[in-house]
Amino acid sequence: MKKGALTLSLWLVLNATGCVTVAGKQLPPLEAVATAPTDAPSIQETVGNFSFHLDGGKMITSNKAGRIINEEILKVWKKKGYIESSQYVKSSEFTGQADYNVTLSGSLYGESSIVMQILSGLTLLVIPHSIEQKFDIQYTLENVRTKEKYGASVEESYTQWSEFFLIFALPWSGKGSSAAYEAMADHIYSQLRSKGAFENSRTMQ
Amino acid sequence: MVESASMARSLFLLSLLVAAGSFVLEGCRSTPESGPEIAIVKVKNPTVFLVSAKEKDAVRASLERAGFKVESDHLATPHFLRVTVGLSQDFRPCGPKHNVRYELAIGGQLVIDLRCIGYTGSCVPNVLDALSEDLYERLALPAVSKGDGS
Repeated sequence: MKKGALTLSLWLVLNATGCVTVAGKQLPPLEAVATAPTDAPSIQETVGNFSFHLDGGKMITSNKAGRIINEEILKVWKKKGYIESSQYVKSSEFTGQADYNVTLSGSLYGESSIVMQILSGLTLLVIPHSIEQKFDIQYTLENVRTKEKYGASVEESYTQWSEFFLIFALPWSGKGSSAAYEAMADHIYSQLRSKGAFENSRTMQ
Repeated sequence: MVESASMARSLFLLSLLVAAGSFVLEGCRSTPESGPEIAIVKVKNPTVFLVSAKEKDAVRASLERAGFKVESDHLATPHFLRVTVGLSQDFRPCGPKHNVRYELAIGGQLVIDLRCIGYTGSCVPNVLDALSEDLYERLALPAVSKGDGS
């Protein structure tokens, strides 16, 4: 019993890093909200020429970081009914079985003070540190049937603050990053729509 | 015998020092130096699409000063340029010192990779200007002057 409680406490301490995220303000709110198509298309997505850099060293590959961005953006699209489904495929291995192929390219830069990261780590997060995640990303959408290509690009950021006592803000910790991803998703979709994409939403007959 | 061994060691140390010194002083290098030859077709007025999650405005301005037209649509040009500006290494009143990397891809393939360390901001010389000019020289056809009859 005691051992179980100790393991649980240790797990909580190790995993529950106190942090909050604050969305950047590069993307203004959209004047007109895009409406969901009546027949939402299916999508195959991949990560193309994408690079992730984090000051102090990154723990995931650029491709993995790109996949996370795709997941977050397409999650918003699905929630809003813009697309029906999405499937990840390896780079340039589209099967042609979806209505559209989506390729992410661009850059993600995690800007942070290494000195503050070390200080924060040494003091077990009593001293806070922050990482500003800066996105400069592009989406290339290809209509599988017509082979027409559409492009969209956005720049946005969010800041992640890590500090032990922010553990109490855990329920709201992802609010800023979610807002940033939602803003990017909306702007990308809006740009693609304005260029004529998704007009006949379901293209495969 | 001992003397020659000590001389060889001194020469080895000296060559190491020279190599390290030249890297520190030079600071700039370009790759890919090996691998398959990729022919770069030079064009009259090169355009690029710029991706830079840090210092984008400064990089765009330096590219434009070098002569590039910076496209806002990534499908409008085959030249996809990613610029990475690293951590600040030092500060001067005119600006900070950074590691800077210019990666140019054509059709998804990396064709030019320039790396340099130097000062940015309003400093002269400026590492962003130096790299932008270097890239322009590699991509642009040289201008033909009217009076050049040779």
